[in-house]
This record gives sequence, structure tokens and C-alpha cells, in this order.
Amino acid sequence: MVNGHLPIIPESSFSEFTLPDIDSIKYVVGKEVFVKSDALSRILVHSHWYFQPLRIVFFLPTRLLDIGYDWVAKNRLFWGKSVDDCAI
Amino acid sequence: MKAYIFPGQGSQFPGMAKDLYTNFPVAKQIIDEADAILGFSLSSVMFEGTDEELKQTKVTQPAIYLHSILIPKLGKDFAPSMVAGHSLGEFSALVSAGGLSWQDGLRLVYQRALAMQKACEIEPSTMAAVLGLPDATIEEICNAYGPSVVAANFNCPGQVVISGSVEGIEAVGVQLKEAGAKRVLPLPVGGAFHSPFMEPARVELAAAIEATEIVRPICPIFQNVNAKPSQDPAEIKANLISQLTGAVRWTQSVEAMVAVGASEFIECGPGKVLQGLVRKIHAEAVVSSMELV
Repeated sequence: MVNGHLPIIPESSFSEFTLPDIDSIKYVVGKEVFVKSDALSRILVHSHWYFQPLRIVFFLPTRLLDIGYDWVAKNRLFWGKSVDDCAI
Repeated sequence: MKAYIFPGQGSQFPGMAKDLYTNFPVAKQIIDEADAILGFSLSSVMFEGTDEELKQTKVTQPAIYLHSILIPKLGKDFAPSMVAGHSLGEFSALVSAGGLSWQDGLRLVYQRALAMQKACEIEPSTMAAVLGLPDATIEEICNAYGPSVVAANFNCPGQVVISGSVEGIEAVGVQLKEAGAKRVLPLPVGGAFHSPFMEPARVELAAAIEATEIVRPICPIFQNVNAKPSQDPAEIKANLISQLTGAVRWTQSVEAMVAVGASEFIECGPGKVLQGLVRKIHAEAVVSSMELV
């Protein structure tokens, strides 16, 4: 934690060990790397109190949560897409 | 290497350039002169106009152009290794690279906007953004439908704009959805830009471009129609003319700039639309808006 925030560090700056080559958010604690829903559940622990109720979903099996993670990751760019910012 | 990029239609917003007009005497002088050249107060629409007023092609295009050409004049260390513009942004790019005077650029952009608007009124036509489908699949489906629908803007991977007849766009939109497109969004434009529907505008603008003096720019300009660099005035003119009925190959242009060493993309103009597109084309690219002095 830095000033109460989780630091976001570019992957390129990791030199001590190799991060897994997986298309996901990666949460690093010491030399342990967490990905997908596992990473999110750990990040959520540090989030504001009003996000804490969301932690209840992480009682579901990781495999199921990862399917949900992949689906959101795949589609998030197309949600709320406005036609006004479309370059023509 | 630094690439300076200039936006096209879609980057306008109410109140655009008002801060520049208020804070920079040079901007005030240029905007006032632009109003005089155009014969109407473009600045009033830019500063106080509604979203709807600003969306009229004859206003949008000169407004974005004017905002865009001001940025390098007011910015810090404008030193391009290369430039590129999205659609009408190609004129702003050329002006900023010293290939065309800003006054001539404004006249051409205004004439282009009027000609396009006129062409839109000849035959009903429209555009739609297709999200989440490979470029090749979109081109294939458009080609199979016939010449009345074309892939017009290759904005970034997963975002292509198609252009054509109203019924054609509707029919192709259904096919694209069936082929797996995430979304097909009809765009609120009154015409099929960058398609054969713009042929009357191309003919009209060709004469104006041919009659305008364009000199060798200080750096290569990557043009929309072929995504290749050029510093040859005759070639630049030909590409500016072809662009009206040809596709905007923005994805390919950014890839070509990266291939010759562009690592930093600096957007000059209103909004940040191009920065988002560049990031999606080349995730490692450093993107920013030009910093003003």
C-alpha cells in the first residue's frame, strides 16, 4: 500500500521474476502472483467499505468466477460505447 | 520518434477553443481572421452553439480544423518526425507540417464540408459503427452485399465504420450481427462519408485542391487512403482528393508509423478520441495531448 492506495506498476518494471503470460489483471504480493477473479478478490479487501459487500460473490468456485471475469473482460469495451465519440 | 496526430469529425464539443481564444492573443487573432474568411461567425457556434448546431457538417469540419491547427502554434516544442490526420484531420496535419497555409486549409475544409453536405442531400445515405468484428470479415460482408455499402473507417481493431445507402447499412448491419459483431451502432450523420456516395463532393473538391498551392511539408504525412508516408505535393493532393470517396485507413496508418519508429503519439485538437484509438492499435504507444505554453 502507498498512501492508502494500491500502486499500479507497469509489468515491464518487474525484473525480479517473470509474471505469468496471461491476459488478466495481476496482483502481486511478495513473490506470489494472483490473476483474474483471485486477484480481484484480494484487491477488493483493500477497497472502500461500500465495495466490501461485493466480496460475498467470491464464495463461489474460482472456476465459475473466472468465467465471469473473462466474459466481462471481453465485453467491457463495448458497454456504454457512445456514437458521439466515433471518429468519422 | 514523435508522431503528431490530428482528429476528424467526432471530436467536437460545445465551447471548443473558447479557452484558447480567451487566453492566447495569437488564437484570438487567428479565430477572428477565420470568421472573416468564412463570412460568418464560426467562433459563436464553437463557443456558444448547442451540440446539435455543432454537429452540422459545414460547422463541425471547420471548427475541428481551426481548433486543431491552433494547438501546434500555441504548444511547446512542436517537432514532428511525422504527422497524420484522421479524415479532415489530414488538412490540419498538412498545415501544421508547413505544407499548406492555414488560410488556404480553412477554405478547402469549408468547401469540403459544404460539398459533402450537398452530396448527402442528393441521395439518402448513412453510416454505422461496427464493434467487435475483424476488419476482413466486415470487408467481406460489405463486398458481398454490393457497391452500395463499403467499409469506410478502419478506426482501430474492433471498430470499423461502414458507409452506404440507408437500406444497405440496415441489411449489412443484420448480417454483421449474425457474423458475431458485438454491436452495430447507426451514426447520427446525414450521409455516407468516405464512400462512392461522395463522388459529387470529390469532383467539386478536386478542382479546389488542384488550384491551391501545396508545398513540401517539413516531415512525412501518413495519408488515410494508402497509410503511406509522403512529402510529395502532387501525391499529397491526389490522396486528399481520393480520401473523400476512399477509406480512412487509420489502423494501418498508425501501424505504419509505428513500423518506422513512432513511439510517442501527440494529439493536436479537441478531445482525445485518437489517443484512445492509438492505444487500441498499439498498446505500447505513449499517447498524450499537446501541452500548451
